[in-house]
Amino acid sequence: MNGRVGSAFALWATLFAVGSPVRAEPAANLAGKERTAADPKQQTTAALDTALYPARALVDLTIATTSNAQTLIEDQQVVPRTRNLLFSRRGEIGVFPTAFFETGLNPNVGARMVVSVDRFASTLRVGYGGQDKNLAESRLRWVFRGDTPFVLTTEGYYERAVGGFAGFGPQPERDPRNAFRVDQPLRSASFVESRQRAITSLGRRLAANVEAIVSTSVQIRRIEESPEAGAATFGRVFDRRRVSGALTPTARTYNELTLRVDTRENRGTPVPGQLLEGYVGISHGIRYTPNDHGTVGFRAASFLPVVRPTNILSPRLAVDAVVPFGEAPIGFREARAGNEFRGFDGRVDNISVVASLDYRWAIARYVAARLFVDSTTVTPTLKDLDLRTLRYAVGGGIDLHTSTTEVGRIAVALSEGSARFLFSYGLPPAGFGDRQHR
Amino acid sequence: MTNRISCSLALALALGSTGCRYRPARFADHPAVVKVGDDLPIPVPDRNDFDELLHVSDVYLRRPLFDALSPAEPPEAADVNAFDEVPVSSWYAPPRQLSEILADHDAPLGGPPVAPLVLLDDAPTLGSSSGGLTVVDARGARYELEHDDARRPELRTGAAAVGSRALRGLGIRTPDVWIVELAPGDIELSRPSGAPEPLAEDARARARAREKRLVAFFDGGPKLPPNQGRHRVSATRWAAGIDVGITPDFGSRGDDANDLIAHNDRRTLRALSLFGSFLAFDGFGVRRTRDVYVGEPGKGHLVHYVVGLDRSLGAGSVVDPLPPYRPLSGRRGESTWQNLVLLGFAPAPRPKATQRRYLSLGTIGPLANPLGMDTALPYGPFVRLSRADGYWAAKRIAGLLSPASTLEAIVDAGQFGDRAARDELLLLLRLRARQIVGHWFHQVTPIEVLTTEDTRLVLRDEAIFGGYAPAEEIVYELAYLDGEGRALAPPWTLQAQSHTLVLDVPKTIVDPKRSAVLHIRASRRGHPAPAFCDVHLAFYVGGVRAYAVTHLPR
Repeated sequence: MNGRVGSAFALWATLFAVGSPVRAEPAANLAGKERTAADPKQQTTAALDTALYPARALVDLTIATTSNAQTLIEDQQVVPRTRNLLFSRRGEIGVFPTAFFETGLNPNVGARMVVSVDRFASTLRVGYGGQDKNLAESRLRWVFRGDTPFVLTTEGYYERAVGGFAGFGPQPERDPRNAFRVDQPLRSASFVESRQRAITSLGRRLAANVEAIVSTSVQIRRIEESPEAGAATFGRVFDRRRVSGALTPTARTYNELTLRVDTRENRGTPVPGQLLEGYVGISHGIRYTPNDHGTVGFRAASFLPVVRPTNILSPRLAVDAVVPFGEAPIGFREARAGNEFRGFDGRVDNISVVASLDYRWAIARYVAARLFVDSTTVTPTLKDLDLRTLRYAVGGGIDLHTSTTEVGRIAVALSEGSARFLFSYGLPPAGFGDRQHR
Repeated sequence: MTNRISCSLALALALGSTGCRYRPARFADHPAVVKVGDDLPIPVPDRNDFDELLHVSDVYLRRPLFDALSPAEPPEAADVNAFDEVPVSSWYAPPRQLSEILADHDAPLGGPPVAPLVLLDDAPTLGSSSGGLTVVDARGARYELEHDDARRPELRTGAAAVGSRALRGLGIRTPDVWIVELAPGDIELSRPSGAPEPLAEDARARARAREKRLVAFFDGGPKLPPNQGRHRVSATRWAAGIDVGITPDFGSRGDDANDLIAHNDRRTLRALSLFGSFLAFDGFGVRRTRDVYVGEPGKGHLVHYVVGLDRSLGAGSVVDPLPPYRPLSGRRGESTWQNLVLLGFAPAPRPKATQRRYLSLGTIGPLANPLGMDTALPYGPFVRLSRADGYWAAKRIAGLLSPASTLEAIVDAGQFGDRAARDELLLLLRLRARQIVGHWFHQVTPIEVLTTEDTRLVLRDEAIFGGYAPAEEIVYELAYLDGEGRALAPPWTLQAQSHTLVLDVPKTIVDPKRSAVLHIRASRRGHPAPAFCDVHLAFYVGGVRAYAVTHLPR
């Protein structure tokens, strides 16, 4: 068949009629437009658009580099555009910059180098956010395939960051263990912590829903005064000599065994299932650190469908405990805090308890909404647990996820008369607690 | 102090000089580009596979934030020439003969597969369902075979054949799809010659797997009456080169030196929204696009395809049989806000069973969404569909309707055994096309330049020409403007008499030393079109010629 094709061809022919000889050229300014049309109604928005250009560039750079960083941490597939931009010709070694990622949301810049060859992956990252906010970390990972794959990881880490301490106990101002200085009214101190750490872990999937991880680490901490703390320096709020771990550097080894049973189909979409994680560990002081302690904890969560399988109610309970061996008190940085609590609570003690109730439901493909109530407290022993010291947080948010994993979440939590804005982007941590990285 | 006042005054004058009136665009007076030279040799790019994690975060996080910080209107398409048309390129291949649409060509590896066919181990990459086969024919051409569901003979194979040709008729590259009749014995299980010999045990295992797949393939589809041994199958020729993965829907490919325009600023990709709506293309997304490297490695370039047309014509959204309706089942309600507010208890939409009067037709009706098709994941170019883009897409769709034999030939490629189904499909496509075309022809002033004769301009109103608006309802407001938007003559209005508009440019305006802009806005029943048409004119002694046309909103 050789028929002509409709009036579209006739229109196309007008180019030959009214135009001039045809030409072919690379695709740049095909229209030959030297100046765009200007309309007074659009001039204001055009000016505003220009003024917002730096903000758009910042969003672009931040999210692009952050997503790339998170993707590469978890050994996910490196998309070709990233590989082309950043990686060597054979795609084995890549270096790329990061922003607002390495040391948190404070202004910081960093860089990562990733090596990925077959089943071996290595990342090296550095971040600088100021004199007291910088880090360097190296991770190596080998994945061994087989009937039940297992992963061997070794890491080296250095960080210098600002921290805070409000004393031990559920009511620190009344707890006799806290050596507050009597000549000042403040009850919360700021400090700078330098940490060096080496971790080796071996994780294995024992069965379809069961994972086991054995890990060992060596960590050295040093506490210094923060020059930005003003009146809230550690030495002005507390008698540093009476706070274990505040005066001299601490060095310890930590060995842990973690077991996780997770029957959910995936960690992205709201799906029913059960989760139980437990760990037991031993921390041994080395060099001048006198005290040893054990750790034990668990998290139990149930993901219960409410009428629909995409509406999930999940009660959760997380208990985290450190058990001193002997009479020496645990260091204040080894004490447990309710890390899963989404409100404001800086209390620490031997045992932390966080109970939550989340309701999560799918609202669109890849998007879920969440309402939650958290409660937390700390206690020196289970016998001393006082539910009257519970603190609460309520809130809600929106999660973004793929079909297999969570991508990011935004939430607002109301707690202690204030609102806390929570934003996380990128892949969630592999397990709860993650004591080795505290 | 004096300098500061001078600068402020200059700024105020500059703003004031243009701040109160419209100022037309300025174009270089060059021949219009009709073909883009984006076929320069490049190395074979890396394969770009779909990464759900990065894509979801990009689509739902980065782009909305980016767009929220962009108050200006999205930019006009960047792949258009001075006449607001899209030149021929690796992205756009408008057919000039019907044979190009129907793939009746004599290319070395063109046409349906040639026996004998040999089954390959590779799984098909284009089909929407699992269970397809990949074969290589006697010439070494590779085809992906798909069959229909037993309950719906001719549905998906017909959709693939018709949809691919229709989209090709609109200028978008699609794979060649052929309807063939095959029996299991037509496909050999042996390995293609030249392949390395595997280990014996491995070879036996692969042979068993191939045989199993072959049996499952032919068992799964409907059998052709009256010959129960043969099956109707669609054979998609893929790929005529190296498939390097999906076409990114945002930005451009960094490893393609020919790719100079951000994909979300390409009119051809923006127009897919309307092409897909016209064809009831269900399930379109970035995974239904492909880049193919053609030519010898190192000497070739990329061309860009849309694939997966077996889901067009409503074939991808068939509900048959109708599942029992449970309002609070696992299916979510359609409205995101409803789901949010009702905490996930918004009643699920009641499904509607697909008609069974014509088994070879899917969920396709006479009403198309003129604003474009829905996609499961936002598709970058669709977000930026402008009035000019929609108008261009409408012209392409309108081109398929005339002559009538074009669309008939396209539909006949589906080889529907039921004549009534074929006629029904033809009618539905025409109705859907007119709906979309009618909508977008009224979003602009649909004026095109037909020709110039000395100082006379001959223009055509596409809406009147196509029968989408009666001439008596159309009034034009016209003005000749200079480059700064100042009127060169008093504006005037003109009642349309027919689809042709003949204007004699006043002698006072004809001046070879300057250019002018004919600024036209159509009004229909007193309502002005949202966009006007600017025809950019250059003059020579005793004559005028048009060198650019725009259709812009105001």
